[in-house]
Amino acid sequence: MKLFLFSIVTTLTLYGYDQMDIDKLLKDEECKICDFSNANLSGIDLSGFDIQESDFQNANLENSNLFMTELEGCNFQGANLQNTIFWKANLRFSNLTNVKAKKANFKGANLQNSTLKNSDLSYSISWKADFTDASIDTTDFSNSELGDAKFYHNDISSSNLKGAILWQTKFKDTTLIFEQCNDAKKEEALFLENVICQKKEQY
Amino acid sequence: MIKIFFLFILTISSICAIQITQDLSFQNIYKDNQNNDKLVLMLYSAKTCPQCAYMKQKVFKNIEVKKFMDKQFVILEKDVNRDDLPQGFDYFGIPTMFFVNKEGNQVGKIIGSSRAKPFLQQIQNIVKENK
Repeated sequence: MKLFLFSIVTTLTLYGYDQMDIDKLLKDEECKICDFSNANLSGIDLSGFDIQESDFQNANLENSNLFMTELEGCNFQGANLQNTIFWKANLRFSNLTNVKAKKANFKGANLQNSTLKNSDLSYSISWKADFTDASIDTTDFSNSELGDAKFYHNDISSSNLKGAILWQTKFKDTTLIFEQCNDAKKEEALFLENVICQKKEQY
Repeated sequence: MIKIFFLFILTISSICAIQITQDLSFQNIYKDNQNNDKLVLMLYSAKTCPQCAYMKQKVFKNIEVKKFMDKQFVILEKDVNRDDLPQGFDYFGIPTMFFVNKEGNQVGKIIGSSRAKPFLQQIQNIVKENK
């Protein structure tokens, strides 16, 4: 009996997501506070859907389309977001810790108050994205396109901005390292006010 | 709802669209035979598009890119919010660059922005493939 219960719990933990939530999502184009953890949602068109406060932990959303999707407060921890389209999506207060979002499209996305930690956003497209008050830690933005994006009240000093397009990128109340500041200036980024450029060693 | 709206816009714009060879600004490019050996680089942009501004103000003005573009292309810019867009040149996002020959056929397409070096490589390939 114990073995039986153990195997059920293990299976539920392993597969996480609720098939009923997925069916509801595809049928109603809406599923708030739903469980999609570990689900394979790759290549699916979820544009314009309302999926706020849902759990996508370790889910696979590679090549999916979430254009203008309502994703406020969602948890994407460990999710595969490679080539995923988040164009104009609302990702406020979302958790993007440990995500693999290489080549993802965050153009015009709202990432205010989101959490990015150990995340791979290399080669991503984030023109005009809003990172205001986002918690950004050891995130890879290398070779990404961050033109006209907003970084207000952030500490980016532990993240990688090498090769990123920073043309007209707006920095305000933000901490960077000297190298990032120099690159940003060369790229014609806009240092609006209170931008701290400090030595890497401090971190 | 969003999909229906976009589908509606797409249908309306397809009904109203004209052939590129009927577009006056396209016709003017080849009018006096001066540009016969060049392709038209038709750039879809908008005033509110920072990526488009980056391409125009930074990438197109890069010395090597400019030199190559002046020799190979004539730029025809279309504001997707204001101008009539020719039939058969669909786009999803801007900037989108269509490369069109004298007969009005699309021979290449680049979507989005990039730095000068990879962009130069892309346009060189398009020219090479169409020689």
